[in-house]
Amino acid sequence: MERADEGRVLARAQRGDADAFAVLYRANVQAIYRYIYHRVNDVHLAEDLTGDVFTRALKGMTNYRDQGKPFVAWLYRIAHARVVDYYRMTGRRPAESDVEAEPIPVSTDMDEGMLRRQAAKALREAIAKLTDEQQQVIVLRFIEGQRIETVADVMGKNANAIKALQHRALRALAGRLERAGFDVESILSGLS
Amino acid sequence: MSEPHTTPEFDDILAQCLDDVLGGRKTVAECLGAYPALAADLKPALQIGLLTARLKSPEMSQSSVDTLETRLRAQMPAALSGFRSRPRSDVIQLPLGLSRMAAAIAVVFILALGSGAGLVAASADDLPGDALYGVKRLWETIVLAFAPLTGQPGELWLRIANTRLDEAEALSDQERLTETALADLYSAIYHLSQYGGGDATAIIAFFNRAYLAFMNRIKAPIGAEALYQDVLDAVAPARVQNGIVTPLTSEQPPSLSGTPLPVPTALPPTFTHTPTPTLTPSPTPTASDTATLTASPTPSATRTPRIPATATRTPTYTPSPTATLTLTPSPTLTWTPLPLPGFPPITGAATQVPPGFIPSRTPGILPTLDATERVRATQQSVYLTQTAGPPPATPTETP
Repeated sequence: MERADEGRVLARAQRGDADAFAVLYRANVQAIYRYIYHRVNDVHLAEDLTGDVFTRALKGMTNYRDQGKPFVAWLYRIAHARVVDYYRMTGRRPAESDVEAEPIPVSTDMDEGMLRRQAAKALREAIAKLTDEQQQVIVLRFIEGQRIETVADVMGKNANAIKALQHRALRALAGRLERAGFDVESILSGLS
Repeated sequence: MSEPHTTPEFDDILAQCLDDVLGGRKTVAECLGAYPALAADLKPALQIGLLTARLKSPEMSQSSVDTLETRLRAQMPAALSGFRSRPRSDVIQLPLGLSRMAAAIAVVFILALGSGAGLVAASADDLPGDALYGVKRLWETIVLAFAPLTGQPGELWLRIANTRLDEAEALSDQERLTETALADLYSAIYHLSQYGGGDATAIIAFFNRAYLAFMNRIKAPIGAEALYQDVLDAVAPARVQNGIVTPLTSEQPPSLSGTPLPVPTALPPTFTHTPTPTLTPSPTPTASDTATLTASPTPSATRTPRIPATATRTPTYTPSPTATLTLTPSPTLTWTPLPLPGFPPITGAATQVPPGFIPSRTPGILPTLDATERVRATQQSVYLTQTAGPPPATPTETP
């Protein structure tokens, strides 16, 4: 949705137009679901939390101030708060396993599809081992495809800080996959 | 990557290269060719960025999207009706200040009292239960006593309300939040709603911040769920609309006094600055001014809990090991073509997402609620207590 259109829909939703809010919901629900999913690694939990995010967004619509920024940035902030709240309330840790502690055996005769699946699993687990801020940057930038400026807005930081976080996060991921025995270049060449 | 570049310039170049590669405008090799001196560090970062961008993400099933939309639509009339106009009688009427001379005298006196008072400064960050917290509250009482002279009681109450909120957040984080601290916060909100802060933007900011804090950070202390709900109601968005606060009717929270919290029904159109009779500046502090800062409301026998007495602190989203969950293939182990312009399509044997990974239970219904969620749920009763749309599905989608 173009930003100008989104602004008009937002204004309608804030005037009490339920259909307008439904438009905003449908335009952003998958992005929020993906963001949460990649933070909690659980499809059911991701659905629950996604529902929670939009319920809270609905409750907060009357206080939302459109400052010309993408509406999804606000939703990401709510989603992040819900993820943090979830982990705080349950006392759970985001990571389920340690890639480095339990390296995945990679053999030369491994089927390419299996290698990709193993690499995907290792990558997901490596993301889960990043710091909270690094996870946010990786998910928003590379999985959600958001621009640096949008990520900065979501996280309340400036663009340079996001670039530095991005660099550190990618270095950490590359190091973890390398230590787990994966050759990223060969996996990429198999995909292209 | 050993001893990588960590300069802002390198971060900029990496960010630009990532944009170019992910946007399909350049290949990794082209980017590395443009910065040969940095290639050793750029290459692994670009490759892992590219790989991450091609990580498969699951989509929420259409049925789940529709069910959630149905549930949201059921809540929309109530949630989106906050912009209706309210009668002017609900408008906060801000006090007028005294003369500049009186204000100046009062400020000088207060500063004289405060300057050099190391105890006061040292107590600034203390929380209820800390050694110097009493000093902090005493200093507030003194400053409030001179507020009528300065003509700024509203601004003081805004500052005090923010302080009480800071304390509640910190106490909740430390799992030390008490009923007394919540009651103190309620009291400060009451006074703020009576006096106004003189700065509509600051008032809105406080109420917004408080509401978000209660929705996202502050948890209900066990046994004080009703009071927690009172505070949440007191800072609910419906109470502040377009810069106007609907005043609370009592300093005593309803759960402690047995009276229901008045629900704002309408908004006044504008902020007015007409003084109310009850806010006439007085040269000496009134008994109520002092009492509100020192008294700690305690639960009375008449308290009517709003939350069922059976509420327990059960972790939300308690995993339930069902056959459905264990048999559901993970959608994370698949790759999809990069959804970015200009990138060549993937022709390899990418694993398809098995149809069975779609959650088979009714989505969005929280299985269990802890005390905080139970309280918050009163503002989301439709979402948490009813199953909108079709009845819970049987696990037929499991492969």
